[in-house]
Amino acid sequence: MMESEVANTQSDSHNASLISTWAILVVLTLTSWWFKDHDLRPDAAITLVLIISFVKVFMVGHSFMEIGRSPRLMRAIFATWCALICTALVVLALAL
Amino acid sequence: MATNFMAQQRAPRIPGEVGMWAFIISDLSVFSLYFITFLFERSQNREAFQTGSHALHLTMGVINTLVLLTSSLFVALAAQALRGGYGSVAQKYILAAIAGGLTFVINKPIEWIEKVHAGLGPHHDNFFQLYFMMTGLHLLHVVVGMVVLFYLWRLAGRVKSAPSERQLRFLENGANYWHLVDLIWLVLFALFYLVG
Repeated sequence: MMESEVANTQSDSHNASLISTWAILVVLTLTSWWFKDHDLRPDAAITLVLIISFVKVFMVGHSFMEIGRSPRLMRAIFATWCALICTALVVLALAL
Repeated sequence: MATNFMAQQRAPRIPGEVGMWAFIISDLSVFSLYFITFLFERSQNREAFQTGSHALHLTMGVINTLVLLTSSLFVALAAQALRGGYGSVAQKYILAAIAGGLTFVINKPIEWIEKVHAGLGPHHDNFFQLYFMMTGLHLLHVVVGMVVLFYLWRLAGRVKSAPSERQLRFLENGANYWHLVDLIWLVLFALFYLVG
């Protein structure tokens, strides 16, 4: 295969992966909207909404910002930040 | 040769410049403190925060979220097109992203004016004080982001084949700034419109 063909194939598959990420982000947004409109137990709804938000944040960083293609340390720092802030916010929302 | 090329494409690398990532980390740190402040203030007066959140236009919040997510997708697609040397295709994607940003910039003040007219301005209570302050700061990011997108659009117009290293860095820095704007909004939307 020529280099240009390889590059095109890679670009096509990367574009498909970006569009799939976007579709999942849209579904997750609509899901959290659903949680707000349905009377779930408040604590459960808040926990789910915050977790879903940080899953979305992780996906934007990992896919759109290309952190998923960056060195391991950078990926670890970003994943840790997402997990820490999400946990801190859930604890603050439920415990205080 | 093709194998080497593919390996090079897959090799881990930091997108954009380290300086831009330092800015992103500091901006995210500041907003993280705001997120924590919001929930701390909420714990002091849950009722006011619940009433405030219910007074917000949830459908508008969802629309703004979808608009920014789609705009981010267009910027990511533009980056891919530009890397492949397709400047004119990238320009179209960037224009679509700018349209998304413009929609957000129009929607947000409409929401603010509606709230102020209903007597729910920044002085109403802590919820609305934080709402106007945090969404205002975010809107400032969106406006700066649109200027960045305009420069990316101009850059894309000059790319006729493979972009230079400098053009690629500018593209990645600008694209990541726009994604940062999207990322911050995802949490603001959850806190103000859904958790409340």
